[in-house]
Amino acid sequence: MKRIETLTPLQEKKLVKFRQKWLDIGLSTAPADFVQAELAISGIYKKLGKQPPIFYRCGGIMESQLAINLRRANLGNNLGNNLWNNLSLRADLGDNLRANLRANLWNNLMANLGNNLKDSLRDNLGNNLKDNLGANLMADLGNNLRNNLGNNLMANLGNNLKDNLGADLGNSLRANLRANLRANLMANLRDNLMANLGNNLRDNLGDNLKDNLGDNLKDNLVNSLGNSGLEYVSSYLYGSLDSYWIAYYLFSHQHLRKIHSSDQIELLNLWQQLARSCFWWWPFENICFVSDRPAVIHKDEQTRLHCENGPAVAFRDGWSVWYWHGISVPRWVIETPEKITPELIFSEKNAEVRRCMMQRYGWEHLLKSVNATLVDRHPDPTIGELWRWLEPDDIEVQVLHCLNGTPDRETGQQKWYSLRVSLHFRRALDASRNSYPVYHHLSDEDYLLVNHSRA
Amino acid sequence: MKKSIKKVVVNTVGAVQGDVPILRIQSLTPNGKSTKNRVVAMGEATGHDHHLVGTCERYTVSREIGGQLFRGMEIVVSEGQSVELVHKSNGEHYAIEMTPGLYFIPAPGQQQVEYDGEAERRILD
Repeated sequence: MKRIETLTPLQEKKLVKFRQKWLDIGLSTAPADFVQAELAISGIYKKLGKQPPIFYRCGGIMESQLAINLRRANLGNNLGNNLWNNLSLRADLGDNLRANLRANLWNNLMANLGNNLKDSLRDNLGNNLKDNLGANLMADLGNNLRNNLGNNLMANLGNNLKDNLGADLGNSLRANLRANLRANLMANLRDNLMANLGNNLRDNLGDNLKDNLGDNLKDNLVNSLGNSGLEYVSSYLYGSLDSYWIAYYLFSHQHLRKIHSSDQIELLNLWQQLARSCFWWWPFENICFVSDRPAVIHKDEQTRLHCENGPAVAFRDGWSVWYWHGISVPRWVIETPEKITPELIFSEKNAEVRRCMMQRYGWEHLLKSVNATLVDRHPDPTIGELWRWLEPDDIEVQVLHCLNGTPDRETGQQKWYSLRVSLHFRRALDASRNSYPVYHHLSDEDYLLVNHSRA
Repeated sequence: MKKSIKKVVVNTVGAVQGDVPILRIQSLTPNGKSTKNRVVAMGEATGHDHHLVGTCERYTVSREIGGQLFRGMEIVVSEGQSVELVHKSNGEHYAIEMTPGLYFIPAPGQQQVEYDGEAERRILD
């Protein structure tokens, strides 16, 4: 059959609408439709020859992480030991909880699903496109659907969330747990435990279980997680964020030619159903953790995560992230900008975060508020200008304020950066060169040459 | 639409990608240890690293420059090859093209530093 080389004007119009529809699906903040998600996941398990799993519904991806980690690391030992000591239910717990949970949870289906279903489906669908579409049209569709949606969904949202999750899990778990999730988690764990133990146990254990478990779990969680017990459990099953590749394979079949087999479409429909109903999911043998979608997603005109007065992404489990034009910043920088001071700006170690704080505070505002004096201004703004002032505690500060040599490739704008430098510099050029120790030995001419090769 | 990445080419002295400096060198340090590592700096806050793309030999070394000892990576780009230093950070940085030649990139901690009132500290991105 002859390959399709170009789209008709009508198909082009449909493509634009189709892309927007799938972008809306990918960025949906509606509560998850867990019933639909679970039906789709059960269908995917069936394709693997597996029984439908037990589902663990989570209010967000942090709760999912904690739920998986806690079930993996803590329930077996901590919960078992606590109950063991308190309740003398060794046999029941051994059978019903520890053995059950451990055996069920850690036979991971992720690789199976990824290799056998998702990747091979995409390979097969891709081959169908190659057989039916001309190379130029495939590239056009790829740009319009996969890359465009991919940039919007995965590059700007999915990867940022992963970065934040990883950082939060690794670095500030204790704070997250205490601040955002303790109450949520406690309820989930308790409820799940209750469900597992069943009516008989629940009735028997009653208040004893609730009271003891609550306190013991709380202490164990804080200690274990805060010290080293938690790890980021990766998933490449992104639910709504998988829209970018689903749309790519679906458009040709729906609007150009029936190019996929019925089996392939059946499977693609399951993925489509998942994309329309939930966020990330983590499949294991017999149990699957499914996360709700974000309740809030805010972006700027360049589709970077951004919100001026609240979280850029917030989940119903209480976990949120704050962004200033694509840069992850602490919550207070966004929600209480009046707390930003020159001292806090220049004590911030991260150059990007410092730049955001500076933008919020305003460079001119800063110069006025600290009564700054200009020491030197180099004709090349990428070398910058030296400013000096006295902090409230009479400590003298000198700052190099310079323009990034290369415009932002998204916005075309150049950004100003500020670095605190030693007081002994009198020339902006010396301060700039000194910030790179490997260039200390360069002459003025050579350093200016390097500075012109900035990226 | 996927955006093309504008490249900057390392000139006769070196080039800078954000907080990562590249220096052209004339010779390799003896006894450098061959490495497969392509990451020259981690974006600790953004999660986006600076990494080398393309065919090149790489060695971890301690090298004296201007009377100061630096740890880092020496990179050999052979004739006919082209290597790029790439950093993905919401469009913050362009790629730097490294034409055939020898290069040195200091290790994290010795790349860009900022004075903190008492001493110089490493800059993170």
